[in-house]
Amino acid sequence: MTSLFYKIFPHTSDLGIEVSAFSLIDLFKNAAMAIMDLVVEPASVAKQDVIELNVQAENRELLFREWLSEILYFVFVKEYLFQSFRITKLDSHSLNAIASGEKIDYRRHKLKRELKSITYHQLQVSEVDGKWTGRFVIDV
Amino acid sequence: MSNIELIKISEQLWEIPQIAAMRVPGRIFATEKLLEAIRNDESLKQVVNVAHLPGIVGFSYAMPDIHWGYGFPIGGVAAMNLDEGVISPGGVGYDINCGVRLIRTNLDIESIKPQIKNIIAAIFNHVPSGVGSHGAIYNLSKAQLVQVSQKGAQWAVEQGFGESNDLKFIEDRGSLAGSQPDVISARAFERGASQMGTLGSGNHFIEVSRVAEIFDEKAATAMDLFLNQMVIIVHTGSRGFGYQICDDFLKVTMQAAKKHDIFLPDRQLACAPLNSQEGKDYLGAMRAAANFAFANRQVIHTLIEKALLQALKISPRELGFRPVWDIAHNIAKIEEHQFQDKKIKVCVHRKGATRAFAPNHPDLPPEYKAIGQPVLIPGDMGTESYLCVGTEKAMQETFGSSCHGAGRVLSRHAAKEKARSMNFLAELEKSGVYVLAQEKGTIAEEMPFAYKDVRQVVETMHRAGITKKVARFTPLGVVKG
Repeated sequence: MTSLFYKIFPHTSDLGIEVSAFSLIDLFKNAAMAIMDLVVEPASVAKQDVIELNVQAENRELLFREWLSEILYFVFVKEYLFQSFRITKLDSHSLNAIASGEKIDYRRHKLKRELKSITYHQLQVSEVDGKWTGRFVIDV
Repeated sequence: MSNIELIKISEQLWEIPQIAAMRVPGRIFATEKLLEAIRNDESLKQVVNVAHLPGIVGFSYAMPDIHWGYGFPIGGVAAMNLDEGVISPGGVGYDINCGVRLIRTNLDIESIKPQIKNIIAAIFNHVPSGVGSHGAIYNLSKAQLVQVSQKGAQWAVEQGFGESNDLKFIEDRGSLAGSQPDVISARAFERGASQMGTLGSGNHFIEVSRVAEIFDEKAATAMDLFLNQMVIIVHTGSRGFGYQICDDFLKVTMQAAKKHDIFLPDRQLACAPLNSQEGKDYLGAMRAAANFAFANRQVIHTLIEKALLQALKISPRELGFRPVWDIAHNIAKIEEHQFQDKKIKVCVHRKGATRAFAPNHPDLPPEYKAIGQPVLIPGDMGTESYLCVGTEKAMQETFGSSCHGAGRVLSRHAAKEKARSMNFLAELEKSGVYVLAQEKGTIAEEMPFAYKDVRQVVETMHRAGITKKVARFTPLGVVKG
């Protein structure tokens, strides 16, 4: 499975994801969309509700993980699916975003898999010549 | 590809010499053939990384089903001394007390074979499985979850799931003492509330199997097993409750590692001294999650029993349903072991590894005192699984630990790609295994070719004298999440 904005890198037991973008904001957005793409067919999700997401962390990499963990929480605990993300504030320690989506309706939404957690293993956010790359391993 | 230097100790045992900042050498149980697969990923590097942790005693061990995990390798064992040692949530994993239960019945496989599809369908309908499934006991309150986290399988029995006699056939009687619900986050309680009695997805399964071969009559008889008997294998854990506790305490222990100036070769090895507040809190929270998992498997046990009674229209007496054993394979435990002629207390991390206590160990029920602790080693869903018992050698050489499964060789993504061109459900059925799953993708990821040959894994530990083979099971039907 490879899309325009993320690819799966080999990891024996879990799921390695590499996301790329031309800005840090887009990297965070694309990583969030990658999570949604792994969980559900994005086209089946409507923009019915708006949820505010706010996360804090010690540095940019940890913030990246925290952001993705927050999305997992909303998907697997609050049972929300998102179709788009608008990041309204991003610095090295905090992120505010507006996510648009809807409550899971098990008759319409076929969930592809359970994602247990975003690990710290091989977690990386880097920039080379204006291209941003984020790598993370998901425990599945 | 790993080019880490290995010294051959025997046909089944290899050593990674202690170099640089390693505190102990590494020890890998594997044949040369298994090592070829092991060298293909980063797992040996992870054995080396674990060897850096403070207070590690003896060796950083890897079982023959070792494969690349996060932080610890899956199939890793590490014992830490209680004074200078650490406890690491990554050394237990997100699915705290992920484990296996083997259940016996009175039924001969030939008598149920024509009904296997009905049986699998009944189990599938009785046990909530797959992503987003809600529990058999829907929406537990926080007060109820506190009870679960303190009582474990006993709680399930009190709610009418099974009998108190079941408890003696569960590791630690299905309840770890020292659980501390007060250090668990609101999110963990929220995540666990609707998941009691759910199988989950990924590699979790329920399997209907046949006792295909018995290697040790005495042990098999003690466990009430006979040739061609129908048995059930359940593989699941603490669900979202455990995942969240692990996630929460990785943050706590990352700070603790900084505070206590502990070098971490991988952030996922975040740990705290066992005698620090952070370490004690994690141990208490981990035990709570372990108890959730014991309760979960006890609830599922009873749901399967109901499904079978309904599908087969027989009485409980005719069915003769009871656990043979229930083990944890993602856990950290304080245990007493003999080490270099001294009795010491250590915290044994088993990450994708199974406890394998020898005969006469005080923690064994009277029924199993003479044979040793049952060790359950499920293979992939297309081939076979094994029941073994722990030995005195396991006590001397691996802090009473052995392997836990076949061990992956292909990533889930690669397995899915490989399965793309196959009609894998039909192929499994052709080989005599009927599978029902919520998600077809999960079956593709878990196809037999994604795993090592479980026979080689089990044989390695048998020849090394760590565990002894008792019985071999072949699957007839599988429920996947």
